[in-house]
This record gives sequence, structure tokens and C-alpha cells, in this order.
Amino acid sequence: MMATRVLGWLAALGLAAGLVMGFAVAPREVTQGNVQRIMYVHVPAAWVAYLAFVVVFGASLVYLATRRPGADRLAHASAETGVVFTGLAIAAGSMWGKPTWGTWWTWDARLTTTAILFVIYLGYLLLRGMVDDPERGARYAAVVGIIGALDIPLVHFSVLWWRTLHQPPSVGRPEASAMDPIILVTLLVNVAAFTLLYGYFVGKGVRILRRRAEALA
Amino acid sequence: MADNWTFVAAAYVLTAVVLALYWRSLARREREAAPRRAVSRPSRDRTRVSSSPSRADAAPTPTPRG
Repeated sequence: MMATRVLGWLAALGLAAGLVMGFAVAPREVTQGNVQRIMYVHVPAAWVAYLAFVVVFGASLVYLATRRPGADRLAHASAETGVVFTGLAIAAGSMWGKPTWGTWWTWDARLTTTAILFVIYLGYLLLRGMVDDPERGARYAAVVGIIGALDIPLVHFSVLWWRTLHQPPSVGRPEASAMDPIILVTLLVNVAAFTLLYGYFVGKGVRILRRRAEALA
Repeated sequence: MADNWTFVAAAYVLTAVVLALYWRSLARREREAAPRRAVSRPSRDRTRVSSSPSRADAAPTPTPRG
């Protein structure tokens, strides 16, 4: 509980720092202007979505192999948080896309695969709610969590494999980033803050699920 | 290119609202899932027999916790 609380405070500090850097430190982008500052919420949200579903993948594998309830609770909590951040990434991206591309949405590879990712894990959560037997629900969800993670590399590499409206990745690309160093640092600060926030949310989620299980036992 | 501050503000406000609502949802579910201890106490009789307020309190009987 203490660890979760510390994560929460660190996340709050990180978010505050990211906000200050995003608006007061990072320069106005040359091509897009100040609308580019949406990147400081869009990219971190997308990163957390990747992280969350990779954790779901790993925890689901562990659960299927060992049937440890803790692994299932971690997968469940991470999936829920991941859905929230995926939705945020899509929404923020849409608000960035309208002034930049002239459209709220387009069926290009990146947006489509991200939407699929969102729907898969939304389905994961709905599946857990629909199956009465918790153990069977956990097993079915674990399978969905593992298969759904196959979409993650598709989302990330879609902008490299196919012709898309979406720009190539800002970081995590084959060649070195051409980004302004201050913009890059600001982005990384926000990514770190969002990651801490993810840890805080998942910590709370796991605790909730554990207490519910103890109450039913 | 125009700065489009409205879109920037909308993105940040939406992010803040969604994260705040999710945090509140987690806090509420955590409170609901918290283990509760049921302790029942008898209600106190308050009877005024004179102008000066006085109370006739029944001695509280603690309920055994099990």
C-alpha cells in the first residue's frame, strides 16, 4: 500500500513537471506550431497502452502456466488501465489529427490497428464480467490477453510497414530520432509520469481485486 | 500553421478529466472493497426531567467481535 501511495505522489510530481515542461520549456514546433504539444499526452498514453497490454500478456502466460491468482489480478487490473489509456491516446490523437490532417479519423493502418487493440481489450473486460465462474473467466481472459497482444507490434510498426497518414514513431524507430532535444526530453518526462501513473492505477486495481477475492473466500 | 490552442486545451482537459474520473472510480471501489468490522451499539436514551439538561445513558454493551 505504501509503495502504491509513493507511486501516486511520484506520478503527480511527474505530471506537474511534464505539464510545465510541455508548455513553458518545450519550444513551439516549427512545422505544426503549438498544436504539436498534444504529443505530450498522446504519445505517453499510447506508450502506457503498449506497456499495459504487454503486462497483460506476461501475466496471462504466468496465470495459464501456474494458476496463480495474483497473476490473474495483475492481468485484469492492467487490462482495465490499458483500455483507459488506449481510449485517451485515440481521443487525443483525434484532436491532434483534426487541425493537422483536416480530419478527426481516418482508416489508416496505425489508427485502425489501435482501434482494434482498444476493442480487443474492451472485450477482455466484458468477457470477465460475463462468465460466472471466476476461474473459467480468468482462463478465457488469459487466452484473449495473449492473443490480443499480437496486435501490439502491428500497431507500432504499421507506420513503417504500410503507407499511412500517421507520422512515423517519434522514438523507437530504426534510425536515430531527428527530434529537437528539448522536445525529446519533455516527451520522455511525460512518458515517465504516465508510466508512474499506470503503476499507481494498477497497484490500486490489484488491491481492489485481492480484497474482493478475500471477501468471497 | 495556426496554433489551434482550442484543440490543445481540449486534449489536455479531456486527459485530466478522464484520469481524474478513473482515479475516483478506483478510490470508490477500494472503499467498497475494504474489510468492514460490524460494531453495533445500542441507541442512547436522552431524557430531560428538569430544566437543566441531563441524560440517562444506558451503559453501552460491547458486541463480541468474532
